[in-house]
Amino acid sequence: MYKYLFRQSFRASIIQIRNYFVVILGLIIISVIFLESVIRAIYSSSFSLSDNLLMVSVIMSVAQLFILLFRKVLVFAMHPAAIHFFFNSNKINCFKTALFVKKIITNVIISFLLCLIIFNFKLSVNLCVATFILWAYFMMGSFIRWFKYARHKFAIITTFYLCSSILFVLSFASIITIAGVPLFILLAFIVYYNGKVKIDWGKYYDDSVYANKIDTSARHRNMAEMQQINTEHIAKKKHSIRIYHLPLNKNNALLGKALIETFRMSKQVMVVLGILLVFTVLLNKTSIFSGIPLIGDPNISYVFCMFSIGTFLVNLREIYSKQILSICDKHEKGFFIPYTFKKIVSSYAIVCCFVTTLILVILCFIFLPGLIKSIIVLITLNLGMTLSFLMQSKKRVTKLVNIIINLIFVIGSRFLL
Amino acid sequence: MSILLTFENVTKKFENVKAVDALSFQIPENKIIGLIGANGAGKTTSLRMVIRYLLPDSGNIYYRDKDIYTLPDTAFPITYIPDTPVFFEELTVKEHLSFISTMYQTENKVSALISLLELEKHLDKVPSILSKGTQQKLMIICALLRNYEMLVADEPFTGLDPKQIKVLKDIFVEQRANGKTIILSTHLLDMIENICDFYVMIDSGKLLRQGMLNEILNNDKCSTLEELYLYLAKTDKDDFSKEEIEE
Repeated sequence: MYKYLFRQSFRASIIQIRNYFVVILGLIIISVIFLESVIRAIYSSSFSLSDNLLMVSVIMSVAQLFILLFRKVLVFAMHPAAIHFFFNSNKINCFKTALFVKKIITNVIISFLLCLIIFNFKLSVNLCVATFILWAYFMMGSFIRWFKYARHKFAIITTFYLCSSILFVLSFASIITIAGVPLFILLAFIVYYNGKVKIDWGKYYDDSVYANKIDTSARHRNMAEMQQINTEHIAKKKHSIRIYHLPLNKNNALLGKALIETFRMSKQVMVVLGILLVFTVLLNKTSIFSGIPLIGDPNISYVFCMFSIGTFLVNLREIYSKQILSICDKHEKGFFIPYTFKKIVSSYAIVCCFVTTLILVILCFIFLPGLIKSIIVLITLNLGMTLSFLMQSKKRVTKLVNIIINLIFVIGSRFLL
Repeated sequence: MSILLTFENVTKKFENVKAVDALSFQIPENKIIGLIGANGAGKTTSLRMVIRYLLPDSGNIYYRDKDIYTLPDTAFPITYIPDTPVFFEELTVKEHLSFISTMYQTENKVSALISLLELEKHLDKVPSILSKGTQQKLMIICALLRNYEMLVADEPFTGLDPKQIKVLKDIFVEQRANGKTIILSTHLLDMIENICDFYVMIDSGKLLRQGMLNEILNNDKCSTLEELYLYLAKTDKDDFSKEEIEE
């Protein structure tokens, strides 16, 4: 059995490497250069993550929470063919065991690598203990995600998360080292509890088929198929707010559509954009990063903040401009849309500017740049946003214009700080 | 006529939608059964409960008078062909067959099935480059490699050309001759009219009719399955929901 599974995975990896050779090579080179400079900086600085284990463990618990809330990938993903061919036979247990072992090994590797970074690449007993504790916490995270997938009660999931996180922080930060023991007892309990979880095999099979289709088309660089599968999947999603819930007429129909699309914006994108802003605030208003090389330097952190806010705005603009382009494209291909380009653009621009203003006002309250600077920021950035939409609809956006607009966003955000 | 499978007041809901609604019918042994219904009638949900992918919210499914969910995995007597073929993408046809036959210890069946379905020239190819019909043949061989009494096929004729359909029908007839029971779920009524011995018609998750062709046609004074189905399921299906309009 394992021979064929290995063959499937091995060939899949070979195809992936062959099709993405240049990308992988580039990533490796960049990672090596980046890691080399990070390691060099760590060794030369007085800052040490191992001396701030409490902060590290809290950050990891928060990261675990984000993964729990937003990561959609199946935590224990069995190949759909394995489910189909071996379901209702005792062989399916072998596949479950293989998945479990794979998860253990993956988590051990990730934990070890993270602990290596935390402990300045020095092998020690502390590093081994920390790896062990971190591994237990990651395993628990995997099981909690599995319970969430199996639609367990919110209270059970929250309890497991809170208990494991508290025990993890206590033991990892060496506040109460002995807390590692109950952490492992909890892990054993979760493993036992997992045995009782009833899987909705129908849903699991469908999700595995979807994940596998996406993987396969990505592996074979079939981007058109990948996009098609994704579009079909998104179309099946159930939404709580639908366009007919809004009071629509001919004048506000597009505005309604833009609003609905704002509500349906991908959670992952929102989280990434949110993290950018939180990072900016932490960097600018607190001393959390003060000991860290590069970003701890006030002059460099200033530039980092400008770029973070600029990136946030560029991405926000991208989200809406894609929607505008999609409508304009349908219009050009003959789909009857009883609106002018100007009307389409203005509807989306209103919603985008509203969102931008809302966020900028919040940032103004946090950074307190003063009334005049705040007004300058609001006007400049909203103007840049509207201008870019207008040019986009008329296909006037050249690379140069794009760069100029992006620069407006980055420079405009300077007034905030 | 001995009964192999019994649905007893089976209900299955997905959120607020009843996919199967108090469905009761019986499947006789050693027959080809046509499970007929329009798209969304509840056929796939019913079949998925038979193969234990899904649990009913209420009601029972019996296999030879035993609750289907109490049957041991080691001797589960039902094999299944899904509506969409599913494979290990990077394994060849030959590797699929030897993988599955090794797992079920049915290596002796492989060569006979390969020649029966004329798959010899495709053995070293990966499934993704095969035609839809050949993929379907491979799915059938893989299903037949299990030790089974009942074969369940979900929309097996979709996307096949007339020649491939004929081959498939012959296989089902041959399986019946070997004492197996076959359930064919489909909405293509003309495809199964001449091979099925028994019909179960469902619509909106509810049973419309069940029985031999002559019985059900005579009862409602219809001349064809299509006529009968349209007569029974004549509720207004042209009213689309708001969700459908939006999509």
